[in-house]
Amino acid sequence: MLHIEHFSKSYPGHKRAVDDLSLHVAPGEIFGFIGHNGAGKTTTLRAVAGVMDFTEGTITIDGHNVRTDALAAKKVTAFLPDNPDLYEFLTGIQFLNFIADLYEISGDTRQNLIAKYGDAFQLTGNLGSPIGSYSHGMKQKLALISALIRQPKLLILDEPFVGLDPSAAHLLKQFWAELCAAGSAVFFSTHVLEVAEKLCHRVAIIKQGKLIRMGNTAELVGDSTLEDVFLELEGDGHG
Amino acid sequence: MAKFLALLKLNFRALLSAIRVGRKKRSFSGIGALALLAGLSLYISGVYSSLLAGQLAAVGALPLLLVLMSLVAVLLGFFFSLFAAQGVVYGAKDNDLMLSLPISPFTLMLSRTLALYLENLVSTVFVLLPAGVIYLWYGGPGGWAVLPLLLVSALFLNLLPTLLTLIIGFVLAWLSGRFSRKALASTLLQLLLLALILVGSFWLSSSINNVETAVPAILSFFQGWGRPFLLLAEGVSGGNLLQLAALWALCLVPFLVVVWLLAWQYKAIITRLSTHRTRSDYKLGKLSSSGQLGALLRKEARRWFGTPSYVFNTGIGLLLLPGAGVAALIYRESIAQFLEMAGGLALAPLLLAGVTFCLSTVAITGSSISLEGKQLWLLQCAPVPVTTILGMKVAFQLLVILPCLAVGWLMLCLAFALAPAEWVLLLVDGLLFALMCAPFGLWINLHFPKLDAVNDAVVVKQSASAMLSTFLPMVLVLLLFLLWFFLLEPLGSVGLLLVYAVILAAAAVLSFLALVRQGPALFRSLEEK
Repeated sequence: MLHIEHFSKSYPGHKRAVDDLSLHVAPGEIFGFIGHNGAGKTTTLRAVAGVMDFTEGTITIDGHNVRTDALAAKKVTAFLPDNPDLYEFLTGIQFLNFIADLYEISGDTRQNLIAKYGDAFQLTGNLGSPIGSYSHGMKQKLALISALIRQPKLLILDEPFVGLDPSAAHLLKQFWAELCAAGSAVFFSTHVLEVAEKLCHRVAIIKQGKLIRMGNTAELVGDSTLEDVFLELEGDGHG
Repeated sequence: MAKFLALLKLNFRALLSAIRVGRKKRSFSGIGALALLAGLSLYISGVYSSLLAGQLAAVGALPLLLVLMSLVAVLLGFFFSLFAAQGVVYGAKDNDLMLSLPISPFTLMLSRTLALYLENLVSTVFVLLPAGVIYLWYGGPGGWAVLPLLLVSALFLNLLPTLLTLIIGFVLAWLSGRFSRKALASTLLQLLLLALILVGSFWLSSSINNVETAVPAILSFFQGWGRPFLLLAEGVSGGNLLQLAALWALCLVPFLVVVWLLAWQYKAIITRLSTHRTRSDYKLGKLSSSGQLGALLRKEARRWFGTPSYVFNTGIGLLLLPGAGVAALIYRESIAQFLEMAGGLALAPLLLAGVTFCLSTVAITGSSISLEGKQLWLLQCAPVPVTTILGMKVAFQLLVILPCLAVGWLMLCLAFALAPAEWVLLLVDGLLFALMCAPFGLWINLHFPKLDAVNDAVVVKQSASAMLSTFLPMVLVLLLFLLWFFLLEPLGSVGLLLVYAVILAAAAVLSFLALVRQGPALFRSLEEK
């Protein structure tokens, strides 16, 4: 589903944020991307989502090159940044309709999907209010609903569990499982290693822009925990 | 004290940073922002003072110059800082952080108010000082002591616009937190303020034209509510320290009382203002799709109508166009008499200058990218071509402008009894100007984005892009006006309008080409700024 080949990114006047990263995410897979603050996770996710320009390497989503066939790649993708700022002058339903229009989702389909996810996250009753009046958690739920109604083939999320209440986090995991059962994939970054260990089929650990370990979660962790593995790799001078 | 100074510095920087863009190249410093404010004040004061001084001196009422210019200083300061008070004093995004620090709300409020005061002081000083110099130039009484006394008085007089902006800013912030149609309520209040300011400036302009008969009316106004301004003029010109002390007290006491009241309740006020109520009774009805273009266009419209400061700062020209048309129709007979007296003076090119001036103030696209701010990611990851995103921003500006232009054009043509060819060319030229401004504003905003502003008001009012996208088309209007002097006689009205059409068509094509060629790359690079 997602192929990243030799992706590098430098910011003007700074050293490389990401250096020669290659990884693949298969359909039906939940893939965790782990690393310290500033390791290059967000840079990678933003490049995959087509939000950030890059010149080195190739990224393809469902066979569409993110640079040369950007619109087709974006059409099958849903991206949520770590702190999704939404249009506060729109009401929740206006925002969802806006997203549905951009992704050309038919009226009936959007109605069913908004009802499904809105009810599940207990947000349907609030959809008539301006987003500016929402709490942080409500905004995050609305952003998640806007991503899920696109029925993306690749769901890209930056720290998705920050700010979510336990029941919403539980629901989110259920919906990921649904998406993966339908052949989609989830690619997300997190600092919560317990979540990554429980949820992810595979994980990649990135340090100072370089991939230092990647593999099947169960094999990578073995008898230890992901936290132990992560701390060990961070401490032994990899990268 | 150290905490207070640190806060004052921080808040003053926040006010000035509105105009700053970029990090290295193309960046304006805070000093640059102050210089711009000072320059604008100097220009306004220079023009009004020199116009007034000659006429007032002729009727022996020169001290009235100081009265009128101190009023201008207060109005200008009020106008410059109105939105800043709403955003910086009451609606600052760092309220939670600041209130969690070991600083009293009183200190916080005072530091924010003083930052506002310092910003106002620049315009007050640069209005009063040139007025004082021109006053002395025309031989006003008081000698050179007038200037230091004016400067000291400016420190106190400046408390008035700060006080007014604090009160109005509070009302606006209160309205925006209370009403379900808060944007509409806030826009209406701001339009009311604008109407008052316009009435004031018309009154000032008519006073300039007819000073001799207006002097008694002016004096009677300043005996009442305008007393502080009269005290300033009498105190400064007569060196009367008692009157000056009275002025200082009149400015200082209400300011301290209001600031003390607001500061005392500051925490409660901003807590109440930041509290929102969310309804939970929405029922999902039947939904329908409307396509990408409609979605983008509706989003632009909802942002514009839902952001009062955006409407206020970019919508005045839209009101002026039909307003001028209505006024022209009402005074149709007077216009006909004037035209008869003027002996066939070609007014169509001058009308075009007026129409294009109004259009240049409608720089909606000039802030359109900046206002995306932290929501830019939504458009950047959307499966929509960048040209479509930019195109819809341009289209929205044109959609808003065209009905007002058409109505204004029709009424002006009827009122001024233009020839058929002039009717057509006035409309064509107006359309071409509108077609030039919309992509030009967007192109400027892509070059000078302000994506990290503390609030929307500073983007639409003080950002470099908002200023450039308004003032640069005005420079073109000025050039067209200058051509009127040189080319009207050889070319005639229709010929001159044709020349304008060629110039404006070329400008429109250039601005479209610049946007089409550079726009997508600039848009994609926004994230890294």
